[in-house]
Amino acid sequence: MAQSTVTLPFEGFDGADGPFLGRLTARHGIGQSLAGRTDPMGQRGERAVFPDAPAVGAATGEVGAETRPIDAIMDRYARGEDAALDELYRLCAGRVRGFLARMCANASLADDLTQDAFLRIHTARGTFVAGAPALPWMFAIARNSYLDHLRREEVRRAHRSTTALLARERTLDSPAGGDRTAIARQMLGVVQQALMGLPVRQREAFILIRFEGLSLAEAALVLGATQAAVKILVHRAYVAVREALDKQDPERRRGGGSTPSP
Amino acid sequence: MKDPFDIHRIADVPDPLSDVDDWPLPSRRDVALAASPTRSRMATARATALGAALLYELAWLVVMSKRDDLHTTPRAVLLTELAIPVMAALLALFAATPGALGLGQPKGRMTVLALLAPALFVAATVVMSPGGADAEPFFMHSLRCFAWTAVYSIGPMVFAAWAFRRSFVGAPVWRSAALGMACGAVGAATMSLVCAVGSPAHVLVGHGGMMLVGAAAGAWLGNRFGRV
Repeated sequence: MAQSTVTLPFEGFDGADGPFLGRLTARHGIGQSLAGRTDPMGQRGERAVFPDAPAVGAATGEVGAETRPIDAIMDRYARGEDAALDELYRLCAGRVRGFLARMCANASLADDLTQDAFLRIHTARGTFVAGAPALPWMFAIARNSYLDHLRREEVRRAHRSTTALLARERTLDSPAGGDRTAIARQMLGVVQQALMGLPVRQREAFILIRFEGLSLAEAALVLGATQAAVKILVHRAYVAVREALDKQDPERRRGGGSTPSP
Repeated sequence: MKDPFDIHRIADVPDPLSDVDDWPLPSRRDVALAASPTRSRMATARATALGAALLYELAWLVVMSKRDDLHTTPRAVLLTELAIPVMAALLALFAATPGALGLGQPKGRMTVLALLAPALFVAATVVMSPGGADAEPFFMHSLRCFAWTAVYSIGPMVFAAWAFRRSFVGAPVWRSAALGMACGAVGAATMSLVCAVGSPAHVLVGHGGMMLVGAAAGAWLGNRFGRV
């Protein structure tokens, strides 16, 4: 089993200067209004709160303009060019692994499932539709891989304990940077815990739209649900995560739930 | 009006794994990959399966004694009786198509198409069926016709299962159920050239019943063997 070295998401964030969560915001996308990417309703979002912050989808690679080469490579692979698999893996494995890591909150399991997903991609390459975007198709296969894993192992409970462990490790291993930094880190841990506490369907809908940048229509196809159903799933997930965050930081709730600007 | 399920504010939630792209990517597992069908090979397999299914139906038509009134019944009536299950099969087949992203039709459209196929069969049979009395008892005759329709449907089902195994990335249960229903409808179309009884009840149960059984079988097979 390949074991990844997990680098912490909090590196380079000292939190000492600037307002609470200031630098965290830029890296982790707090408070961005789906900036500069296709919003879940399928329209371009406004870069509203942090004009100089990277787009939400930029950190993980937006599903959009830069996916076109991936689509072309996948198309070549579907037509029988075996050598394209390595190129495809180099370009897409990170995205697929990112989705799986967010789903299972376990780096080594995400690596294993990524390998499994690419085996499935190889098996199913002939079903890839010419001209279709490759990433939603790959996410759907990765999701199948994850769901099969859940069914096989029945590891829901184990996942929750793993998540707690991962969150704790991250907190302990992170470079020290003052109380505010610690609180910010804790908030990310709270988000991760809240996500892992959600039903799988809510979690995957939320992750696909919030972190993987899929539109409602694409996420609905990946999940095999209607757009309205996906919207409700995402909203419920958001409410649950929001509640967890508010419990953690009552000041946010008193302040109307908005994120302080830098 | 305020949207009670507004999801625009999800951007407020920070990404706990925002650096996941920076994690070192493990190299692709070095395993010997079994040959997998390319798009053209898959298209060839599906065309072969379709051809084989049609040949199977033709072979049964040759083997079986066709209905006695084949040459006396007006052609329009015959065509209508044939067209109803064929239309239902086409609708069901369309519900099973991969759609623009290869993940199946959007759920709403797929559900409507999959339900429209049997609905069309029922409505068209009731409205357009020529009627006529059945000399045999309803139950026994319908059961016999159902069994023969099952025989006519099993071939297309086997060919479809071969051509579509492990090929549904999205919505495998619905799509394979629609495929099974289409196979049942093809069997019903063949049956309409064998059985002369046109009473709606007999056609619905004896000929069309296989559409439901095919859908159920397809759903089960799709769940077990259809998903990638």
